Amino acid sequence: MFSFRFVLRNIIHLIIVFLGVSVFTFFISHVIPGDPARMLVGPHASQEALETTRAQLGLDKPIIIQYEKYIIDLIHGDLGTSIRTQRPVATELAKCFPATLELTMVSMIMAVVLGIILGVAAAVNRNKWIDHLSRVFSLIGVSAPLFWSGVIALIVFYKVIPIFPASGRIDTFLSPPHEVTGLYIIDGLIAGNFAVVISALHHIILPAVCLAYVQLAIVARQVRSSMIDVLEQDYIRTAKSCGISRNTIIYKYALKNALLPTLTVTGLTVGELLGGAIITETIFAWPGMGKYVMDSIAFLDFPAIMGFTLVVSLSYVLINMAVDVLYSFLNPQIREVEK
Amino acid sequence: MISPKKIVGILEQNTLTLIGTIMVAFIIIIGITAPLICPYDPNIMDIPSRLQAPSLAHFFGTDEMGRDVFTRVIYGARISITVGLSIVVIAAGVGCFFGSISGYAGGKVDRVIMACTDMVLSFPSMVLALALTAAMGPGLFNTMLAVCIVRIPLYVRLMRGQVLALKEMQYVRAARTFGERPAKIILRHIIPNCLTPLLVQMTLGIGDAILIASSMSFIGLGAQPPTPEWGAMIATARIYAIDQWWYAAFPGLFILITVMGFNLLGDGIRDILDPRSKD
Amino acid sequence: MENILSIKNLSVSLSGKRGIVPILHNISLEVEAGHILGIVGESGSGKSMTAFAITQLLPGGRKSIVDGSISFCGQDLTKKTETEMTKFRGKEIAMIFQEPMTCLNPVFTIGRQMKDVIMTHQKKNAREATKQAEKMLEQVHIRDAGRVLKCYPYELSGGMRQRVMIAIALSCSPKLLIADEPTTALDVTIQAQIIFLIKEACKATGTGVIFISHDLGVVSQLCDTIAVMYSGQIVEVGSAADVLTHPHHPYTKALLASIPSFTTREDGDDKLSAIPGMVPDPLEHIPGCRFAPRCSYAMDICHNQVPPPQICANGHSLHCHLQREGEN
Repeated sequence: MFSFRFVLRNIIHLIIVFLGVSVFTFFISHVIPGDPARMLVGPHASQEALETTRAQLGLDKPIIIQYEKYIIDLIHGDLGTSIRTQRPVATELAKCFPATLELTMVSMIMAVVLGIILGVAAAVNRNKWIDHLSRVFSLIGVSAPLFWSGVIALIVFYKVIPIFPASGRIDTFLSPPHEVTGLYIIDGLIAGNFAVVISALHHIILPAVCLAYVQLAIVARQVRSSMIDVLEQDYIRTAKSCGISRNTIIYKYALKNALLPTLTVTGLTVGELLGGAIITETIFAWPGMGKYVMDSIAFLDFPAIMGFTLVVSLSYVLINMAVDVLYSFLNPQIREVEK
Repeated sequence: MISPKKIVGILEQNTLTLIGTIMVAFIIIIGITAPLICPYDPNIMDIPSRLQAPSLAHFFGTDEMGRDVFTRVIYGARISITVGLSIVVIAAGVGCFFGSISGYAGGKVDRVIMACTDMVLSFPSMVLALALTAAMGPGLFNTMLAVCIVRIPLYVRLMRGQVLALKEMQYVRAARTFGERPAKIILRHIIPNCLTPLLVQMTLGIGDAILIASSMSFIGLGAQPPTPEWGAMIATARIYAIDQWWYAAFPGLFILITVMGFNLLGDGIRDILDPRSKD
Repeated sequence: MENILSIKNLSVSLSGKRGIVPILHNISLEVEAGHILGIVGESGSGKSMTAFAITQLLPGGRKSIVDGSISFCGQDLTKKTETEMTKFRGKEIAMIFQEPMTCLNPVFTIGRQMKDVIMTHQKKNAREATKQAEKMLEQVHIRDAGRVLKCYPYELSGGMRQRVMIAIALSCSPKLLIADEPTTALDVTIQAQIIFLIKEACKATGTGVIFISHDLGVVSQLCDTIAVMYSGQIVEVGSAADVLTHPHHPYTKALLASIPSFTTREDGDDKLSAIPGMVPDPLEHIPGCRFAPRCSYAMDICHNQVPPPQICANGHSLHCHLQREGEN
């Protein structure tokens, strides 16, 4: 199944999309601004620094040459220098990456698992109270701004009912576990340090729930809609007429068909989560890429902002590709078409 | 077309749509009548009254400059509705234009337009809006432009899909054999039949546009203080939120009401005009 | 031979947007072991609904059955709960449907789907179930059964899929097979094969069959007994030969007359004869015989009183006032 052709085709597709993304980001950083050099050095840089950067960018040269330099730097992992900290953007992003990864992964798992459970429950109990409840829940989820729900959550669960902490990844008196993956929960488990694991979980719940809520709503809606469609199909009637039990029909026969469109939605979900992380990390002082870019915005630190954009977008493309592959893996008909 | 009497009858049957319509109407009305109903000026500062809890004098309390939060929230409705409407109308206009061309012409033109669309779509929407606004410089206008660009692909795809489907319909083929010009065919035969999904998408899109635009303001790239934009207000309110809950709670509540209203209305329009796509 | 299925005075109503709609009015039918009963009628006559009523697959479930009894091997199915019914479905009573293209789950292999049904009703492990599935496929004359088991539905043609459906239906040796227009969506040549399979299965295993169709030609080849339905009512039941050559009910007569023939009629009349009027809306309350408004022999009593069933000499059952008058 994972033939050489299949792998090759996907890699080529990936490279083309990466190039497309880089062209677009190049356009944003070098063509749109009135003075690209000024954007890269900041309003407080000296005239000298400005001239040096101008020369480096080769602004007098044709666009293609400028892009060439840009893409070569990218391939070498050079995302420029942060105006705010005067350190390489790539290094700073690498440092913040694990925190964001942990947060978005936990949110993702929450959104997908709970979304599926809620969606199935709503579809199977159509027009009963659980269906109505799930629809209201979903409606609020897609209508409430992330920055507001985060603040409200803080007020309720930190001030009014103080059960969750307001900031950070673990309690300040604990030191982070030995770094294997950068994800405190996993590293803590590997090190057998349960105090850290519990503290990490305790800190991640509130931001993860807030971040996940929106996507949970979307997933639940999608699953509900797909399940309702699937349950009306002829093959479900066939299964029923063969005496297959209700639970088997719902959770085996119907669900697998209903999850296929949900999978596609999940890919888009990741993009929203990455964007939403900016807001959630800021509200909960979570030291990830989102908070980094928020701090950068306050400084109008353009290189940092563009570096963030690139990293997040490339991750998004990669994840969507993985989703496509997974989809064709699960849907036998698409596999046939691919052949 | 549906007569007003029938619309009222339909609204009576579909409670949720009715609620959505009321919510949207409420926000629009308060936005329009803002100068009449607001007891204070949104911009005049009154430091001695800063950070007061909700009271009869200040329904929603005051902010850190002593301004009446209630007044600022109502004026914020004006901004949000304008922002939402503008973004959707322009994105839909541009998107439908390119989408129809893409779908109707096919071939190379289609491929080029689709490639551009896919390029925009390979970025998460918030992230792209962020980058574009940063490049153009912070400000409400630039944010609106950025969000517009991010949303255009949606309408390109929608329109293209509709055109592709309808292109093969008998009446379109007939028009082509009569030698009607493509622009006329699109305007007269195709667009009127796409109106329902377009209208639904636009209505839902207003709510969505308000969410992204206010998020941009929250981050600091959109509306700048002292503009009474809901997202910008919450950005400042965040610092005081723990002790002065009212400052952050009310603007956000209004965003919730507005977006929920548009969502219910959009879903309702879909259910009413195209019952086939209903559950 | 004893009856495996005996439906008495069954009435079904469905509740929907338009209120409560009576679908079946006082249906009575019987099926013997090894016998094939054909139910014919136009679209909307209630044929499929009768089938769904037997296995309680009606929309609205058991509540839709308003009156009557369905006796299967001595047990009244109308009194069974959903859980109890799952033991009957697939094992004692099997169904095959009209659209083979959409009747199989697209994301599971044929083998998997057959195995599931076999393992649900019989105490067999996976390997034994697969073996039996293969045997069933061979019984419906599918060559290369082993390969087909590993196929997904989209890889098979319509005719093949319908054979698979029959194999699944017969895999647990049901006492009753209900076939709801199984040949309507298939080519004529494939139709013949499917009909042959059903007949073979019935005679070999003594399975009773209810064969539902609007195609009189197909029914005439296959069925031992024919029941004619119109707008939710049974109008005539009798042996196939009798009903087709000596129809008693005006509707049956008109139905047979409306079949276009390849040869010129003896009276030289080449016009297609159709039954005037339209099938009544199920919501329409008609106090008497529901065919009366379109019947060329209708009398006053026909419009006011539902004709009670008469049993004629050869076991033929009839619901018509005209014949009673004629006898008198």
